[in-house]
Amino acid sequence: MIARRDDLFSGRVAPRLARIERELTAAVVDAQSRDWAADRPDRVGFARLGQARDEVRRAVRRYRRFSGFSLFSRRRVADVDDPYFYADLRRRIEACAAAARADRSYKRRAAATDLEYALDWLAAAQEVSHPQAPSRPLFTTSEGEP
Amino acid sequence: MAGPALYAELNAVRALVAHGLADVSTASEMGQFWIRSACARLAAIDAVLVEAAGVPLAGVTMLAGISMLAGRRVRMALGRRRLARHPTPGVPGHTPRRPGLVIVPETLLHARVRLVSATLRHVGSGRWSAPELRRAALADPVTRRLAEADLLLCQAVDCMERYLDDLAKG
Repeated sequence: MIARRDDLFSGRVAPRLARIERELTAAVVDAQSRDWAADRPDRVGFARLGQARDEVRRAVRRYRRFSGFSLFSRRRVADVDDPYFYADLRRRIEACAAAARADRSYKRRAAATDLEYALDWLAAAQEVSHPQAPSRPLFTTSEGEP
Repeated sequence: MAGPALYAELNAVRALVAHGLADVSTASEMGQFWIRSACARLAAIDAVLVEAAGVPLAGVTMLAGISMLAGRRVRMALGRRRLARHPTPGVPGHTPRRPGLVIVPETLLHARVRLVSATLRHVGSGRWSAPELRRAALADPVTRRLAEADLLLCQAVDCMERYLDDLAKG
């Protein structure tokens, strides 16, 4: 319980992915309710975040057979307006994708493709919400470079 | 919003979405990726709305110990029956379909407006601040499904906009 849970390259991939999925779900619901309340109208942003969530969920399902349930899940407050929200999620999804790509099982290697789609959707969502933010990722895996 | 009013609204939204789907699926480039994903999402909306209409008795079936899958089937059947009792309104001002997609069909944008207003009325007036709506979307089963339908609709519209954007860029 004391262990630092957000360390990038520690721990198994499945619980990290599940946590990413929960955070994305929280962010989607938050952005959607704010869109409904006309507090922050942005129908494209939450739609794209939802697409990223679906891709991550698909990756989670590929891992599901091998993982248990995490009993101690904390609900986090996701803030879509925070520019670090996207950078942080991207970094963590990339770390999971790198781990999935190097996996022994072909099923879990397929999860890497889903995570790349999720990264694409995340970038597209960021493009809508923060048009002024740099489109280049702050952290790239070596495979991403030509 | 009371039951019958909600069901009438849901029927109207379903009719609008169905017309929008017909418009989109007559587009010439059916095999195109964005069009295909938009159609898949539009087709999924209908089931979600039917399930939303069938929710209120689901608690009883859960108490009866029926599994999740059967619960979903019961909700779908119940929702279909409830919605069939209410008339499906025609879509006013719906233009006949043309081959090729040049704009996002108006009916889909109308459908989103009606769906969101139905959701807000279902949550109840006076509870329209963002935190209260978020709580309702997480806790209330009907609102959760309406939110899911809204998300699918927005994704479909977004896919079509990206398709049209690609066309404009050439």
